[in-house]
Amino acid sequence: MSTLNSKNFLKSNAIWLVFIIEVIIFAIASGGTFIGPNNIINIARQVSYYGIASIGMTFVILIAGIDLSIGSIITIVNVVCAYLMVNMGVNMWIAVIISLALATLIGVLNGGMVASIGIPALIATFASQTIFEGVAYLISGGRPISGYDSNFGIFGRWALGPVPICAIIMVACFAIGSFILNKSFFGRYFYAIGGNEEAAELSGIRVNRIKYLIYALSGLFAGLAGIVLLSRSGSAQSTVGKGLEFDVITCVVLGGVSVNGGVGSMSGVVAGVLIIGSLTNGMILMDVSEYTQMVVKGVVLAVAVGIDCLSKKRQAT
Amino acid sequence: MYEIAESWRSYFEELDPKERLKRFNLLAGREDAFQAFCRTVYGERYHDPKHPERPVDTWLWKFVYLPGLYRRRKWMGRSLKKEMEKTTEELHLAGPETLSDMERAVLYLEFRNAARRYLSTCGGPRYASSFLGMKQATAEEKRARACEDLWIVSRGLSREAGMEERFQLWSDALRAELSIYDPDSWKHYEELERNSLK
Repeated sequence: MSTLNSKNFLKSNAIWLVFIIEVIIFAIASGGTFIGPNNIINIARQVSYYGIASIGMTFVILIAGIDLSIGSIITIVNVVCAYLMVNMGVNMWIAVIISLALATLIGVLNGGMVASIGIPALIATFASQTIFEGVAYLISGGRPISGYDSNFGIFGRWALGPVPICAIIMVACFAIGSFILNKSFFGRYFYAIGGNEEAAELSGIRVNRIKYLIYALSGLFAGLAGIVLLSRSGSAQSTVGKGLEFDVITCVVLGGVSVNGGVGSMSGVVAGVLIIGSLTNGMILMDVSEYTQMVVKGVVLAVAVGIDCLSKKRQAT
Repeated sequence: MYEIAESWRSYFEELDPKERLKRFNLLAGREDAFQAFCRTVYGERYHDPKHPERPVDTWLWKFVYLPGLYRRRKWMGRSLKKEMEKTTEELHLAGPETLSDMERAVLYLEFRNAARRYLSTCGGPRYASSFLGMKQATAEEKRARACEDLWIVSRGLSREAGMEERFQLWSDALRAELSIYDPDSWKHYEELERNSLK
């Protein structure tokens, strides 16, 4: 019985075990630098923006959807927020609010295409990815925008004691995400729609409205991630969000959120974010080239999705 | 053992709530205890007091929501117990020994009706689809998933919450409905049962 219990324990906490093994490997390989306080703070800063973005993606994948526009939302928020502050002299906080509203609106647009028109989520969000990447180029003219209010560093560069504020924002967002999933009616609806959409509709859930809400939340969290990234980087680039959606999807799927919908938890996603963050940081410390990093991350995504699909296949037989 | 009149069978077999109400009104004569109980159950199942205008099926909701809760039981153990307590109240199973024969017979058929309504959605194109909803499930995959869902709702949850006795009537009704939906389902059902007992 105790062997079975420990087997079950290992099975249900495998993701955290992977994280611990990864930390041990990098700690040994880097001669302890990896687990030094400076590097841990560095990892916290690095994971903060895609940690925040992964919350919205979790909601979307839970209903068996996908949001490929996350990278371009991050880009457009970067460009628009910087443009408002630098070129138009708008107050920092107002610029942030306008940018977040824009990100949410893009999410609503995605929701409309998926829920009302019925375009598959992959195509709809790929289209808006292309559209808003183009819009970001048009606004910035392809040039970086810099020279904004130094107080803007609050979102990405400042720290409260040793703890970076961006990490605090990420933890707060995870707490909100966890509350939505586990304690609110909406969380129940997300799981229900992912589990059996038709039955959810018959039982009284307004599925289309919930889909709008989920894509809007995904846009909002991506927008917040964009603000954190802009604050960290010090200048807005029209290519900054390119490919970020794949890092975010990898974190979410690695964290146990099933691409088939209806299964997953926020704590798993936290583990997924930490694994990808540590992997990226560890590879940088090991001086692994950027291209090799891309290969490794791609393999991790393929393995995570593969395990998910195989487990579904095993269930069916 | 209470025998429900044959004429009422169609009421318990119909899945559409509006059609059921029509049949009820057609069949109803002078209100007796049986009809009053049927009316109460109908009202509880299809009426949301907060949004009376909205069509709901609160029992179908159990089939949709509870499997998700079961799959997260590692983190949601307390919520699961609370939800199951609430479910016993809503399904008249808080004290099953106090139910009369007539009430047991009505509830049994009503549970089967809810299970059948759920199973009727399991053939849809999006049910059990994989890879972000892009790959439709095969008929076999759908049957396996439906069986898993019904096992969770009929046995897995009540066992997890330590309420198997209270949910016996519910479990029997769901199991009976599943065996009609897929006569071979018992193999998979037994396997899920064995695995859960390990």
